[in-house]
Amino acid sequence: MHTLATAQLWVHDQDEALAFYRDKLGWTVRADVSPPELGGFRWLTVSPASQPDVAVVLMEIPGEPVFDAETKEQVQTLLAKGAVGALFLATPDVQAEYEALVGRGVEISEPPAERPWGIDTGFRDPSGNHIRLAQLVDIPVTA
Amino acid sequence: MKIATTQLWVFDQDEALAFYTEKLGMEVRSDVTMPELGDFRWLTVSPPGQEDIAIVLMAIPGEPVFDAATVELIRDLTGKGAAGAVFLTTDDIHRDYETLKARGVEFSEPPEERPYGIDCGFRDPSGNHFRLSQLSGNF
Repeated sequence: MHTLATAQLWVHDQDEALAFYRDKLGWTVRADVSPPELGGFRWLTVSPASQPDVAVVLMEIPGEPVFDAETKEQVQTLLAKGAVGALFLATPDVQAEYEALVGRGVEISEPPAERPWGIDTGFRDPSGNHIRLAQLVDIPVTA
Repeated sequence: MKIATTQLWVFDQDEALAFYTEKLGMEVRSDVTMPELGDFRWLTVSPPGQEDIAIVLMAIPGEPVFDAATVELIRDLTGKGAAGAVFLTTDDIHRDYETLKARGVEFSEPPEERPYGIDCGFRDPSGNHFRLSQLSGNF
């Protein structure tokens, strides 16, 4: 049966995104390929060092023939508002991760705070994608 | 840190739940409604065997999170398949394609040879774009 291999985030600039995820979050590049048959398309994926089997593709917003100009602009607008992509990260020690990220220059808009689901912090990637990093309490399936 | 959950916007969480569990065969990882957050419902699913990663099927919030124009834009883009995407892999794409088709998943693209393997595509009921691939090489 199938496996969830890759989640997608739209990004404004793949090199800028790569620098953020690799150098600031400390993630590993899983693939960075541009098959000539695909006309300059670049498949760029990253994930935390401990997760070689799952990745996030940092996807450039395509123009024609994939998206018309209006669609591309809509994606850019939503992306800038932080309303299109989101990623939820988990850690056993949110305070330590928070300090490490701040030390590497990540601007954390929401410092660690107690929530019903654990201790949670939030920030954006350079394109506007919304990232939450939480130290979770066990949430059971209730329905 | 690790990636725990990726997000897809959905128009209707119950409709999405039925699709992901009954048609795709995924399992519910959490389904929690938080009264202290205005009955916000955190609903996550993932394939069997992948307990440590999930997709949150997120209802599009209105005010005060998003204004009406933003909600409309999210709905429009999601419906076009331009908001969210998830990439699934398999070791036998023809078997999985037939299984999913038999369960009523409508494929926009049947399995085809690509530079990176054999690949097909479908949408969830809200429009989110799924690719299912049997990969080769560096992908």
